[in-house]
Amino acid sequence: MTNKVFSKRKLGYLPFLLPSLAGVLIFTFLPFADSLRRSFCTAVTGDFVGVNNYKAVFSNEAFRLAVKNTAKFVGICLPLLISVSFLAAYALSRLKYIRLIKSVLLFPLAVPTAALVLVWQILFSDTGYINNILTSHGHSAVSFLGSSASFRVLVGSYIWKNLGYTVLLWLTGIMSVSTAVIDAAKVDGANDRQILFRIILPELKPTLYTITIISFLNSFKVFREAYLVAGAYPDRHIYLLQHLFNNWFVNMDLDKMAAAAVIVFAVILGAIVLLRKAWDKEEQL
Amino acid sequence: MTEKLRVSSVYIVMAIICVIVMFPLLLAVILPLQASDELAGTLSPLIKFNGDYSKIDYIAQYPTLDNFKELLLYTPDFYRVFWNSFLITGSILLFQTLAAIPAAWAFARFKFKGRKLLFDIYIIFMLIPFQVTMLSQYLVIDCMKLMNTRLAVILPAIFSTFPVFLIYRGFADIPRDVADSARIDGANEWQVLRYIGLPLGRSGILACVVLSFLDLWNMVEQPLTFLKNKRLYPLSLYLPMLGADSGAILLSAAIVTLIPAVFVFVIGQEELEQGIIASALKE
Amino acid sequence: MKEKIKKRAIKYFMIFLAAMLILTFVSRMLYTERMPHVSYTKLTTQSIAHDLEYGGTVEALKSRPVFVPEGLRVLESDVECGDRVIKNQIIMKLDTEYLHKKAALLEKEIAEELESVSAYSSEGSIPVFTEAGLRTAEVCVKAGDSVSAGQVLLRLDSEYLSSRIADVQNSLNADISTREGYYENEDMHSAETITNNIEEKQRELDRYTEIYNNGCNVYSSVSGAVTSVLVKAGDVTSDSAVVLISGSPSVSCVLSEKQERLEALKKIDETNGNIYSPAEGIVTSKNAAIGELTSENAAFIVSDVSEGIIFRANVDEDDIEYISVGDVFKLRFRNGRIKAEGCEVKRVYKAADGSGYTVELSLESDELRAGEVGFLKGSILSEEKYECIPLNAIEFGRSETRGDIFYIEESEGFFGKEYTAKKCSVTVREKNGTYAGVDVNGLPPDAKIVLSASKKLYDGQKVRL
Repeated sequence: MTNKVFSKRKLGYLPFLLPSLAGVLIFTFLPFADSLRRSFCTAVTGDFVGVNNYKAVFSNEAFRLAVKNTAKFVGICLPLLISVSFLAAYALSRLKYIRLIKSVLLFPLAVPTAALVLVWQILFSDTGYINNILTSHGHSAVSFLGSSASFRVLVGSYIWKNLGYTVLLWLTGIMSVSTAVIDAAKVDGANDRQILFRIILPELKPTLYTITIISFLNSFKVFREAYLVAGAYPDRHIYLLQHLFNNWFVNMDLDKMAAAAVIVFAVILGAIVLLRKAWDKEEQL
Repeated sequence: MTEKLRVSSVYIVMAIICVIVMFPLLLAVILPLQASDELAGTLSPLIKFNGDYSKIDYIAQYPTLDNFKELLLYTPDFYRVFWNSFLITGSILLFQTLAAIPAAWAFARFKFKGRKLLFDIYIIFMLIPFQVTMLSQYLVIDCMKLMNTRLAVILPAIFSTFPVFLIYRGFADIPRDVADSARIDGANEWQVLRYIGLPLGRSGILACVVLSFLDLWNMVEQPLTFLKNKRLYPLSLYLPMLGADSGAILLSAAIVTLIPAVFVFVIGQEELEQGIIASALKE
Repeated sequence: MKEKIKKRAIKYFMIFLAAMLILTFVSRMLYTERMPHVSYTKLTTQSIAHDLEYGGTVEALKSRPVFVPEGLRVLESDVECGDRVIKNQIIMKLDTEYLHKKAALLEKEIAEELESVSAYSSEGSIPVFTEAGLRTAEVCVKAGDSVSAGQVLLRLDSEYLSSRIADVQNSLNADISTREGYYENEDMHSAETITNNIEEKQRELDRYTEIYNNGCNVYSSVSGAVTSVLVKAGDVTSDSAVVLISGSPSVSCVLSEKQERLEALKKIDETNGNIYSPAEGIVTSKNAAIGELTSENAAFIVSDVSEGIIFRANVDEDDIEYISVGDVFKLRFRNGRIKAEGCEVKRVYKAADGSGYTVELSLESDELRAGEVGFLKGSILSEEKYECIPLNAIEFGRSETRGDIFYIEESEGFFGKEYTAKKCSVTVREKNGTYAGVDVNGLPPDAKIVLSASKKLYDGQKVRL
């Protein structure tokens, strides 16, 4: 009896898992394996060419630029977002009537990017509203979408969108620090700063981990804004990996794409593993 | 006194931040209500630069509903696109949830071999941007002859791993004993899922639905790659297609696009927050 | 509170969706309403047919005008326009009394004029000379008389002449004696000189003597008419001509006209004032009314059908380029009861009154009468084949040859096939009343051309068929 139950239990998960697993296999996993295979072959004929594609990709100017930009973006945005949202969350944690503020901050997440494209253009284009204000006060117009300023615009839009989400997460983390400990510390005479640095921050490591992962995920989504506002071939400074992939796809450079995809996959995989190792204190599952 | 001052100053700072955050949305709402000649002052510098910069009248001199009228009454194309978006989003949501719930349940309840590995793989695929797998997906879809149909967008999205992750979070909260006791009472696993898992993991599921909706309503890359026929475009692609020439219609369409998202947001905000919190706390 | 908001929100969301559903159909309807309905046609390659239809009349090949001298009173005229007349039928009677009066008046005028020197023109007249220094006794002719060679023109004074002769004789004798003297004096030089004189005088004497012997008359050397007499009785002749005679004398214009008129009046008088039709035919024009005076235009025009009939039509300037000599048309008469085919264009010339052109076609028929009205119908195909579109599809601007048309472009839209109207300008090469042959610059050959639209179209507008 036990055996049967056991064996049934052993495989009992299958019917639950199967639909999702099948789909993932078909649409994500296997194709990616195929990509892997393709990265070692040419696009047209399918001959095995070893690491040629990889070499081609690494020596490609556009790829280098895209990698540089993407890395720069992630490297700037993540810390910026994390710190700003933490500050905001900390400030908010002291207040009482934060419901409205939370809603407001969370709202940009709900707004579809496509809806705001024109508004971004109105504000930021060369002949846009912000330039209007600048010029009427005597400064020269800044080409927001066509120069290095475009990078800052992109960072700004990323933070705008994700601030609410991140603040919420921080808030939750901060709130979860048990008040008993804080009260005890207060009794012991600790001031706010000490409470902050000694008690709260250490408790927030898991939160930080989550936030990092999710912000990292969302940072790729910024491609949408860039593409819709600035087109497939935007200014050099905001030419991201996704632009590159998109354009290669349009041009059917399959072998380069496959190789690049494998490279990116490997990088992300490495990053995640690193993060895991660094923050892994508890059982994951 | 300082406490009060500090508190109020923080409030003020927060208020300012909120205004800045809402500013683009404010624009998006007031602009379509302006008549076309005022709007021209805002839009025409974008089309053809003639020395004047874009200016914005915050208080419209002649507020009008003309733009909306033009869009809603005289542009049937818009409705096709709207229902496209709706159809795509709706069907994905439905089947996505249907596929993800059992899978999350499996991950939460069963300790099978390779569980950790598989789950990690799921997470990794969740984190990879679309472009990396774009090529491979394209090949598969092309093979299935689904290119340029709505299914090309719907099918891969159904099997996205993100909902599995979120719902798993919701299920992982459920204490083992509750579920086990139900099993002892004679229920099979499906019944446990249905009668215990679903109600208890409700917040996670709803959070997933809300987040997914917001994400799908916004979807740009997949339709861009897989759909060639303009008749199948969703709203998120239709809007950029219009461009600044039809700026008035674009702005009105943007508002109409916003409305369902706002609705969903308002309806599901609470669940959303809880879902986010839940997914965070357990990491 | 939250629950209430949520419930409300859900309700509103449902309402929103329902509204969108309804609006989907409403907007489709309104959009269709707004779209102009167009009908279209395709380009056809064909020759432009120019349909010509003109009215004209049957006329006799030959038309005889009847002229009568003007200024005579019409007594009777029984025939009218369109009447058939036979040869020598009396068509008009003129007032003979009036005529006589007029004739008499005229004769007198002529006679008076002839008397005056200015009656004749002296061109081509031959002068008649006579000896100078003689006295004219009598002038025997006057201007206008016709003379024959040898006829006496002048009679000279014989007494004067004989005394003259005697003078000359005496002078001559004296000179001869003088010469004798010179001879005796051996003065040859003077003798010679005087010999000349002597010989001259002798010649003169001979001449005088001759005239005397001839009766002291001056005779005409030619026959003709005397155009002017330059001496009077009693004059002494000089070196210049005494009479001018012309072999073919011409009267001054006015005078000759009058003479002709007089002739004409006399002729009419002969027929008692009756005017006769010159041929069998139809009176096609009458220009004389009873009681009125005749004019110098033809009083009647009688078309002579004996020689054959033709069809004459007046054609506009626009259409005349399509008709040329040798083209063949159909003619229709009497409401279609009589048809003549194969009538060839014989002549094309500018109409007398300047409005267009007259076209003459040959016609053979036993039944048709001159003066009948008929219709010319024909269709000329242009030589070239053009791409043709109906004329009302073209919108002309200021120029007659360049216009705009709309054609329909198909494209894939959100709901299926969409049609867009696009403007295109064309140059018209040739046109008739319904079609225009155009130059299609860049239009695809199977393009749908818009014939009519329920609303005014503009370039790029969406339409439905």
